Amino acid sequence: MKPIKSIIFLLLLMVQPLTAWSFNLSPQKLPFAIPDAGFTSQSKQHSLAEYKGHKVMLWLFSTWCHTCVAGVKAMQKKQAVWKKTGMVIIALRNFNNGGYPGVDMPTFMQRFAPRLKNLDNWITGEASKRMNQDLNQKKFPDIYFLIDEKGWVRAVNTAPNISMNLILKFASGTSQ
Amino acid sequence: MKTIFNALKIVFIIRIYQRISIISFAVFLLLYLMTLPASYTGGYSSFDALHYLNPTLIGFSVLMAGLAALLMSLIIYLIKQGQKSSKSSAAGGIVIGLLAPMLCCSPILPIAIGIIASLIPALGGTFGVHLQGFIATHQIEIFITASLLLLFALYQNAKKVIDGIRCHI
Repeated sequence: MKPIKSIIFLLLLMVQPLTAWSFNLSPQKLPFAIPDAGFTSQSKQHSLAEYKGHKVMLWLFSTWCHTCVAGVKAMQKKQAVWKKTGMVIIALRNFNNGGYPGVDMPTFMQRFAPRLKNLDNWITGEASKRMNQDLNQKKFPDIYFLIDEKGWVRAVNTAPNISMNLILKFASGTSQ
Repeated sequence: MKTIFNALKIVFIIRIYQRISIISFAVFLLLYLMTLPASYTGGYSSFDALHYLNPTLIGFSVLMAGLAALLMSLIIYLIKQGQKSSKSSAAGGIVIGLLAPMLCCSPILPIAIGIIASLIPALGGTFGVHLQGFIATHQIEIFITASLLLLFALYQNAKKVIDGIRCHI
């Protein structure tokens, strides 16, 4: 019986990552109005309300996370698309880096996606404690929100490198 | 090491065990190649994950698949001989090797910890983040541990194969 149990356990392990993608990452039922939380970028305080009227991708991540490395590299590859669509991309380090040490945001971006800083609609910074409390209570190391021009969150997902099609459809206006 | 080589010599005289090892190696290699890069895909294992392979991950995939394949032959040989095999450390090695990259940066751990924390509040807070952060930043060490566990399991089973031969004499 023991080998059979081991095989069943291993099969469950293989199914388990698929179930991860069926989890609902959203803190509220979609669509919901994005709370007006603040963040710091280039030593200045900003508010999400400043970007009303624009499509926004708000991305919260921790710099120790591997999907975040793959994610910024994937975003850099689509640099021309972001320039064309004009969607504002706000990439923020989770408050306190999600609670685990890691490099700061400028170092992370310089190391993995240095060309993105040339984009006008690419903003990096640090999330405020309130932003993390409002939008990332479960402390996901990698979570993003696609927000429409009226400030409504239309989609919540993780790992942009894997879910790039969703972002591209939203940015080009074919998601709804 | 000598024990392992001698045991493999005994087992691989029989052709079926050579085939079991080759087939197991192919299966485990595919499994590891798709699973080890899961930390770059948010826990998602598929052929898409192959895109995120690097020389280190390929090296560990080959090493762990090789050890697991040799183990399979020894374990099946021992079962056929009616002897008890050591499966616990083998399962430990395989589980650690497969589970760590899936938990690293996926939503699984925060959600699981959230559920556990609702039952046992003391486990809440940053417990999940620390565990996830640790897995993410110590992945190589975790793969080395998994490989050593597989090697230990191989040694334990090899000893039993040799002891079994001695018993027959």
